[in-house]
Amino acid sequence: MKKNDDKKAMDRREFIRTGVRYGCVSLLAAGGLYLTSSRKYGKDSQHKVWQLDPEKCIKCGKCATTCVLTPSAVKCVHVYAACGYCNLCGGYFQPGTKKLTTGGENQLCPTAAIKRTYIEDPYYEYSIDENLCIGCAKCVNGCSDFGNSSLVLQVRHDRCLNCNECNIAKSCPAQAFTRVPSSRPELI
Amino acid sequence: MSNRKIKERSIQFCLLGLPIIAIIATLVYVKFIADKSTKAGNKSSQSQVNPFSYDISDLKKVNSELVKYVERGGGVKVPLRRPTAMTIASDNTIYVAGKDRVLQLDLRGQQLQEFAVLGIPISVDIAKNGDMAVCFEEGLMLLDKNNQKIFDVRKFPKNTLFTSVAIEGDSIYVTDAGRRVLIQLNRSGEIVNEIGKRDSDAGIQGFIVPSADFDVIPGNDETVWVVNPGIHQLENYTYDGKLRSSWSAEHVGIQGFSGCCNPTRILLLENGDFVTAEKHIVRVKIYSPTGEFKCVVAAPHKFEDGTVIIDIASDRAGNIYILDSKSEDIRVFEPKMDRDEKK
Repeated sequence: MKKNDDKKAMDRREFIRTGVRYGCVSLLAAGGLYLTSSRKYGKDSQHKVWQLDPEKCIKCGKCATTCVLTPSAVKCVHVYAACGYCNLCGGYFQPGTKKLTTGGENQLCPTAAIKRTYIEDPYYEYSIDENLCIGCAKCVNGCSDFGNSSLVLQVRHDRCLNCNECNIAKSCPAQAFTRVPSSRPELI
Repeated sequence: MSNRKIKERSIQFCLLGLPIIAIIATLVYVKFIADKSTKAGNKSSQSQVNPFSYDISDLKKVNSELVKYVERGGGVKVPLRRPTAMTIASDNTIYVAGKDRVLQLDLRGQQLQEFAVLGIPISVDIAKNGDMAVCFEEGLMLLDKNNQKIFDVRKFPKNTLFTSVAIEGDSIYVTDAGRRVLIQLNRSGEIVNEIGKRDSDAGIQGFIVPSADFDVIPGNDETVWVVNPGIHQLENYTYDGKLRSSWSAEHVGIQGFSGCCNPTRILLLENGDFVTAEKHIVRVKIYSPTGEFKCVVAAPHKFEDGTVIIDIASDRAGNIYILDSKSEDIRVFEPKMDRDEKK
């Protein structure tokens, strides 16, 4: 009888030992899962922000339509150092425009977000009104097709909500979205 | 093992093993199935029509009747990696340049001679007497036909960025995109004049050079033709820097130049016609001496996406040679008329 009780007690110990073993394995698995997810979205997201790599961007227009914000937090940014200050600007005028005037019918931007300012003959400066820009990339396409590619898309961090899972990044066909340190938030 | 032990093991498995299996299954789902469905979602969203599409395919279409040249199969193989410049001398030999060397080839691509140069040549021109001028981004070199160095100057003013060179008479002309001037040097390598600076009294607007596409070619009677790329204009300067004439063709259609910095390369044919090469909408065309569009040599569909026309040249027969950045070979376009006549 006593022998049976000892056996029972041993079985209980064995039961607990096995339980602890399984528990440890579960804990390790859970820890691994936590670390993996935190590396991707967690701790680092406090120091990193979403940005769009202009080298990878294919100017598909999704930044305008898939951002959770309306209008999108992605805006056209002008890299002035690369601009030719052209009179016939491919980013400003519709292809085939006959008159180089600021008439709405001549402008490529659907929201007239690009301002054209006369500097001196024959130079014009082009600036972006970010409140009007919807990030559709039409001007970026025009500038890269006919100009120096001085117009690029960038996530503007004064607007971006820095979602854990950026909706544009998810749908970007070129996988041009990436996390960058908030201390250097631009990729231009 | 007793039945009781088996029972206890089963209970242990149910209590602890099943949750672990559940966790693993969740991980597998997250990693593979969810990813797959996201990708599928992406694919379906990719197929959606872009409401902000930008389409210039119509501008790339060319009426086939305007194309008066046909490509000769094979072309000329260039025995150089990443060729950077090309010209055809008056003796009908091709000079093609790459890093640290310039090769002289016959029209079938057979190598005749090799010239050693230090650096990456940007442009090459051969004088009627056989002298060869080679320009680098910040330097200029002149060699005689016996491969003897006449001068090699590497020190020029700050912001110098040479893009093209031409020899005409006793002068060497180099376009400087950094300082937006045409520099004239003598045979000793000394700067004797800076041409094309803005001068309202002389009617010179100044060169508008938004990018490093700024070409110069020898004209006739000791003049040079220079592209003013920002305003799509070709300007003819005399040896003493006076603007003699100019013509422009600013138009987005086939008859003109559009975008920034076109034409990127020009060439003067024996009959006075100009051959022009463009970027963005990559094409090669011919204009009359006064700037009227005449015909197309190579339409945009003849070039792969992303092609840059590095240089253009012509032989005595009037064939047009195009150095293509994608194939890194010289493509030859013959006048269609000639081919018909041959038949």
